[in-house]
Amino acid sequence: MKEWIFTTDHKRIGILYLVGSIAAFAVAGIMALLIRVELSSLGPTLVEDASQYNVWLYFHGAAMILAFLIPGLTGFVANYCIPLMIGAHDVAFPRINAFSVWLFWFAIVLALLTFVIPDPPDVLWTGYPPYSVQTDGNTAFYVFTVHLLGFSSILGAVNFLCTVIYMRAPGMGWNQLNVFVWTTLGAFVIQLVMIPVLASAVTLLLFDKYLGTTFFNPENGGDVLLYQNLFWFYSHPAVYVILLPAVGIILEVLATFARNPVFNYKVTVYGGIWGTVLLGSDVWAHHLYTSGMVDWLRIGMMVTTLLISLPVGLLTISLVGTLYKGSISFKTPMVYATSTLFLILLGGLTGIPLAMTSLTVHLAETYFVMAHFHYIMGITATFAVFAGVYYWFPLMTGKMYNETYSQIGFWLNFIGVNLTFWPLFGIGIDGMPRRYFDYQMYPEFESTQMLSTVGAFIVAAGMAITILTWIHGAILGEKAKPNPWGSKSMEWTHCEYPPGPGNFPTPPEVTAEWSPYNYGKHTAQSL
Amino acid sequence: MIRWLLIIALLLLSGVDEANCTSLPSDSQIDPELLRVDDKEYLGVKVTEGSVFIDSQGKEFTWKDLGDKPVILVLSYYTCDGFCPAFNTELRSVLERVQNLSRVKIGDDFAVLTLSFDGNDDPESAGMFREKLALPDELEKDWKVAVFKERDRIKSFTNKIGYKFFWSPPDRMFFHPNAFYFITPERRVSRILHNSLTDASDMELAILDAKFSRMKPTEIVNFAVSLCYSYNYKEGKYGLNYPLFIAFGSLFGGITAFAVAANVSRKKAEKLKISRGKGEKL
Repeated sequence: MKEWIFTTDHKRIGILYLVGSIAAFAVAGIMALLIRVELSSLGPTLVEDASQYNVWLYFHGAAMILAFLIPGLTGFVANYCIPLMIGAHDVAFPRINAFSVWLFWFAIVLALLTFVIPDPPDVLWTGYPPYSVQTDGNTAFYVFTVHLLGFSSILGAVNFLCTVIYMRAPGMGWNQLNVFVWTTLGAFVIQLVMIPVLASAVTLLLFDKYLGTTFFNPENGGDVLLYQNLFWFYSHPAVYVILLPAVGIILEVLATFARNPVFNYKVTVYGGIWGTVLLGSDVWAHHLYTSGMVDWLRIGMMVTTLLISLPVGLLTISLVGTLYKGSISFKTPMVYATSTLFLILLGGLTGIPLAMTSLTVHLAETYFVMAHFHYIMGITATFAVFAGVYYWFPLMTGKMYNETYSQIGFWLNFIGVNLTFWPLFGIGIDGMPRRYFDYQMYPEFESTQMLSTVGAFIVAAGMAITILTWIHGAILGEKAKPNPWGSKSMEWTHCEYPPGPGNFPTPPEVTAEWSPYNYGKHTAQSL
Repeated sequence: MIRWLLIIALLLLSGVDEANCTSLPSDSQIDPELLRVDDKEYLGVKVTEGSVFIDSQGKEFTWKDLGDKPVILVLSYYTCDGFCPAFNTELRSVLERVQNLSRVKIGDDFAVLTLSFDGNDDPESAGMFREKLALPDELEKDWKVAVFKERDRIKSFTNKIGYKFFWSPPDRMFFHPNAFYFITPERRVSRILHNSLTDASDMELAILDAKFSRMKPTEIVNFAVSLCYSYNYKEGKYGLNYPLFIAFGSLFGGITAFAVAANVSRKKAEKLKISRGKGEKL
């Protein structure tokens, strides 16, 4: 126990991130079920009090994004894999890394206290004023949770950027990095630059509520819309903080299970990943189309939002191209990874109408938006995390999971999420507003809401089976063969199972011909 | 008696704040808040209803003829021998200072419309009022002094924008609020400035606010200036938009942290390079 608490080993820290983020995911998932049950029929179903529903919405949104997806991808996978992939013995600042994970855990505890304090926060994950300032709910919990997670993320970003820049194995060039490393670097650059903006916005919100300042109160010279701008300045790029590492994981899995190098490596890295990072910071105002802004800015943001489909399109082409003429085997990591092709496509295509200023007037604040971002961000990234856990499971534990139950878990998850969210596009177009506790004025949507709730319970069953296969595999699973997937990446070819302290028995050195995707065909460098 | 009433009216009409109100004679029966325009209720209201006007030269015009630009609307009555001329004169001198700031120019960026709410006013009285104003050349062309073509529309117009006034027979004068309305190119109320002693920069920022939806990419400086300030409804003036500066400052926080860490890492990596023996070749 003591070894885990005081550990500075990046692999253990990665696992601590995984456990914490899965805990947050489980509780946020329960909140999702409560929300779905509440919406399954007209009128109050579970609770009479709409503010209780707001608390569920708050926890579900904040925990899923800030405590599961971001730490799951940039905390768990990055911590566990990046030093192994680049041939480093650890991260650049191991103690800061340990501090960072405990900040994250403290934030999780703080977030969970939501359920025991008398006036829990009910400000959704956005915390928009004036509601967040006027509510009796404890907005401070929301702000401190954001502070802790934000600070933890900044420390992580600084650490990993330094690690990749200065601690690559001798001889390892930039074009020999795993795509996952590149995607995570992109995500960390976004985190580093933009999280402080969100942190300052929520801090001012805290001052407004508890110290009587009026930064966001127009009555006294504040600017209420500015909060929304500052919030989305980070929180839209946060979608790419989630999406990029998710795509990175998927590409690693696809390359390994298709026995192919990553398709169009250089275009994917320099066009797809860095194009997304650059454009991603210039699209936030599309969240405010209906809040009022200058016409040219509205049109400008529409253009940048549409333009971002280009780098994201490059990433998608890379995903599909990596499968081309591959020798594919559909193990559990691969079924999760390939399913994301469908999910990304659906989520991405439904984003295009939302980028259009004219269509957004109708679609804003409807279930269409909700279904869109659940597909592109929530489900795709969750499936990517699951693909990653299954993929690196033998490396992390030295054991194998149960393939049959894992596949059952996958199909329940896949069918469940589509049953939950697909119908919501339809009622969104028909005008069903999101965030409503009750929808007595739209009785025609009740059957669809019920269908969606059934889907949510199928997902819950799938998630439970999935997590049980991990626990069972880690404790009672068969011993894994070395490099069971036959990957060429350094974490598989040069480490023990599981890797010990210092990662590599001897410090690796890389030749110019080496590639993490060298499957006997063309290599990354030749593309 | 008349002198006292005039003093009271001046205090009322200048949109005095609470502190000033307390200096009203204790026997005053008029609550100044009754005449104050409620910003919250009337911002965003469209003003185009029944809007055919006649200017001091007898020419008819509408809002459309004022061009695709913001308009500063001042409601007055032209037989007033007290506050209305003073108020319009004050506007003239503020606009002269605005012209000197040279961010916005009358004619290019905005127009001014002084409009009578008194049904007895006509183009002739408007002309005399305009003469008294003695507008300088740069303001004259785009500052219209006008009356409603149809008198029966006055009340609905003023009601719509929350402008309350009444005639006091014993004093033979109107009691009315003192406010500059800023009307957007879409002809909606975007700001109401209550203070007669308006600062030139407040006036300029209110014009920029009114113009906000029509700002062109070439007006990026005006756009940025407009973002840097926000309106304080309580004080009736603009102030710096502090969160924006704090957010800009914080942008450098993460980058600075990275710069420091990168420097430390580089030194560590150099030390490691020196002490590290040859590793395994892949």
